[in-house]
Amino acid sequence: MLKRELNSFPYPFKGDQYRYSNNSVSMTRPSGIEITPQYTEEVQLKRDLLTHHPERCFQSLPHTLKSQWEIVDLVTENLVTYYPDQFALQKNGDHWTFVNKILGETSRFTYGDETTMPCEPLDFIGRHVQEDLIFMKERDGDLYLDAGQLCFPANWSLAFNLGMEFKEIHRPIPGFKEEGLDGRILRFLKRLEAGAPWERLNWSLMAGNKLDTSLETFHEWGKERKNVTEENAGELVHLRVEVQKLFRLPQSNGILFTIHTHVLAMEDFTVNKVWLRQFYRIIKELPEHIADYKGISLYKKQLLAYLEEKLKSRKPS
Amino acid sequence: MRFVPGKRKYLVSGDTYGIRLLQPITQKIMEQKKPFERMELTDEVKVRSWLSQQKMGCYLYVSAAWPEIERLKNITEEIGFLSEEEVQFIGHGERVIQVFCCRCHGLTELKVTHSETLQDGIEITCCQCALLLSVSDHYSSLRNAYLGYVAKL
Repeated sequence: MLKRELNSFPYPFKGDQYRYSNNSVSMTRPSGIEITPQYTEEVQLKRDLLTHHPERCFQSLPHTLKSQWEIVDLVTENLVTYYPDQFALQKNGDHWTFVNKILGETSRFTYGDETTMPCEPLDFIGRHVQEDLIFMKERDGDLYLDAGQLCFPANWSLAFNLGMEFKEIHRPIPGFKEEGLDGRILRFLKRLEAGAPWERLNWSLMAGNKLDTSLETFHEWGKERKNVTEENAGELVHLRVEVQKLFRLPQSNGILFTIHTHVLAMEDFTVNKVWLRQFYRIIKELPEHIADYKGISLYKKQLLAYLEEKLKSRKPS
Repeated sequence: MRFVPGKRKYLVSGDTYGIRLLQPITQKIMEQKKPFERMELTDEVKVRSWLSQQKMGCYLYVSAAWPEIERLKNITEEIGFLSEEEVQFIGHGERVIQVFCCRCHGLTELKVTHSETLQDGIEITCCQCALLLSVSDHYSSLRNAYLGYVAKL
């Protein structure tokens, strides 16, 4: 792992303990999209998954098409504003030409006309970014997951959650409802304003470095958690951090939720001594229900032993 | 079954056993001295006309045997009792639910008896891909199904 990459890794922890919270902060650089050195590799992986598992990776309800175009507008604007050397957009009325210079692709389409696109608008633009893109529609005082392109989910199913309201989606998170967090976050999201996006970091641990940890493939990648030992934890266990960004869409009054997933092996993560010390305390103190939900319980002991060993060997002489 | 306070008027309906099940709710409505009407669901035409005459701000409780609930949901929805803010269904007796396979998205039917709850960790085999599933209480109204997770790794 290059030091440069380690420096840009989104470190998600504060303090010496972790609890569920709405740790959203106002965005200073209001772009939903970030291009990293892994761009080509990850976009190709997304496209492969979309080709072979379309139902798993893309879902939409028919009434979302207009909002999907709004997302194309927002994402392309982000791309050409923050990455002008990599992307270009020409608008001739409704006739748009979008150029992805990294992949050498030029797309021409008529804005608002799905027949001029190879797939639905959200699916199209999602194939040009590393982020997963989720669209939530606000109606009847609630938010509904009405469309999404999701290739790198952290153990959940877009196909099952489609059409669900916010609290239903989060129901499987232990303690989330009981602590009233679902209601508080929903209220926060409903107050989100156009032009003032927010972002937050979410983390979990996993055995293996797969980005595509869907619920549909849990029977394959979930097994790895049984193979973690103190000796291999550095290589096998990865910290998975999602940079989640929230944008209010002014026309449809929906919310675009972008998720950029980063994974980092423990052996690279623990090179940073400050991170190592803080992370060790957090894992040691982590309540059982959170450890269970984050999938850590099966190998928590082995991981702690590994971290303790690292702490010992890194003590200044 | 939960009492939703603050409504203008309450409607309580069900089959004979359902009306009995709703007794605690009826009790609460009476304690709050709110207007209410009760009707046993015997004749569909009568029920339709009764519900159609109601005004905005009514809250409806329906309790019937599970196989009847779906049919009743369609009727009340047609009349305009659409969301949870307006109607609550309470099923009783044996019930057939659908389980959504987390791996292949196949739907498997499962009979649940009155005494069982989905928290009991019922296990079934997916009828499409044969994966052993542990049935959760995570429900999708769009799929009309409960999520089945991988039961054994």
